[in-house]
Amino acid sequence: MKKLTIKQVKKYAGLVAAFFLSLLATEEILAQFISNGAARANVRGTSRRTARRVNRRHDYFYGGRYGGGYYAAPVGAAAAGVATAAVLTSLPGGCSPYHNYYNCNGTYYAPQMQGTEVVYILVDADD
Amino acid sequence: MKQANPKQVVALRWLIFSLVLFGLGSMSRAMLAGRPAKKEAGLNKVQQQNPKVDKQADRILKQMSDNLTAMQQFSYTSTGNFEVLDKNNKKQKQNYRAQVFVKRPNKMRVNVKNENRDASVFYDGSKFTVLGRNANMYAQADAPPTLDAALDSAREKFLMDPPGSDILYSDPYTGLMELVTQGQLLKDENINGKACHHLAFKSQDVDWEMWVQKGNTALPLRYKIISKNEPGKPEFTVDFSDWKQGSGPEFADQQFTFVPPANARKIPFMRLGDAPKVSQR
Repeated sequence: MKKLTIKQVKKYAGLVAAFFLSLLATEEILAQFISNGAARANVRGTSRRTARRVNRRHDYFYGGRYGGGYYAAPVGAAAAGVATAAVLTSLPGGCSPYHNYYNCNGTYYAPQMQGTEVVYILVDADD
Repeated sequence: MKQANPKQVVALRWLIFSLVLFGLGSMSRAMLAGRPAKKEAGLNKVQQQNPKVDKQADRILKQMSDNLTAMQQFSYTSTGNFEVLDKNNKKQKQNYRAQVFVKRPNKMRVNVKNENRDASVFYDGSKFTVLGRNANMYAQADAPPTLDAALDSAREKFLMDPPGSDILYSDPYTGLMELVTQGQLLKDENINGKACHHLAFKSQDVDWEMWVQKGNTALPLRYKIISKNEPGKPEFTVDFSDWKQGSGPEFADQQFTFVPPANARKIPFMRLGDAPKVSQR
């Protein structure tokens, strides 16, 4: 049997490699859609129920909370301009109501219901 | 160097062509089978391994569940405590006490108290309201039309996931048994003077126990959950007492509809994304 030239081997090797790379790429792109669909389907599925009993740190009904730290979700963290501000379970002294806020010596807090607890969230002065 | 044999070149071309075919074939098969199937296989792996649940334990839990499902209007007191880890990773116990009123299929109200909180929750089939009694502030949102969906919605939107709510669903058995890998009947125990079956179950992420009153009234009297994969393996224990079925005035429809107390202030719910990272407590 005659052997191929190095050039030809390289050419075919390159083709094969490119083919597999394109396979990978396609799969990745497809995975985007498919796994999103799966995630959506799961919301009403098993994971939902399991989460009910497991992720205790998410429970604000009876006041469950780990390590004094609040659970912060990455999604929409900047919503309502409260971002990662401090949160108080009661207001300091010397506060007066101001529209939807409390003015505590120039620092403004907005009351919100976290689970079954009223908390006060520091509002950025610009808001 | 020698030139390649044209036959070999043709063979190589065929080889590549068949590789492409094979690749496309396997890809489309993977697509048809669908990634969700793959993921779910991982998720339900444990479930599919034939859970080893003692028949008696299963029967008693089912009996309890059927009993709860059949109760259309009922109330109970829930006295619970759960462990939380403080900043130094030490376990702290937090206690609460709640009175729960349920009117199937779409009404519930809860009065819940702990150390520094006195709150009421109303669900009337269309609105979901939480009233903080100390601050005299309330938050209100539209709610789904059934209690099952409302409980799900409260968890997803407002981070309210009371573990005791497992028994409030219209079919507690199905929810409880999901992902269970093992279940057994332990020795009978007394809870507040009542003889109980003691059931213990294991699942992927939690181990849980249920104490079910013996006799015809197969009601849950204690429920304990250990989140074994969380740091510190925190426990949650709740006692259910004062079980009452009834049709008295406290189950009238208007009792489940929120009426703001005088001077109560309406505030927004904190949503999942709004939760700050740091707390000062």
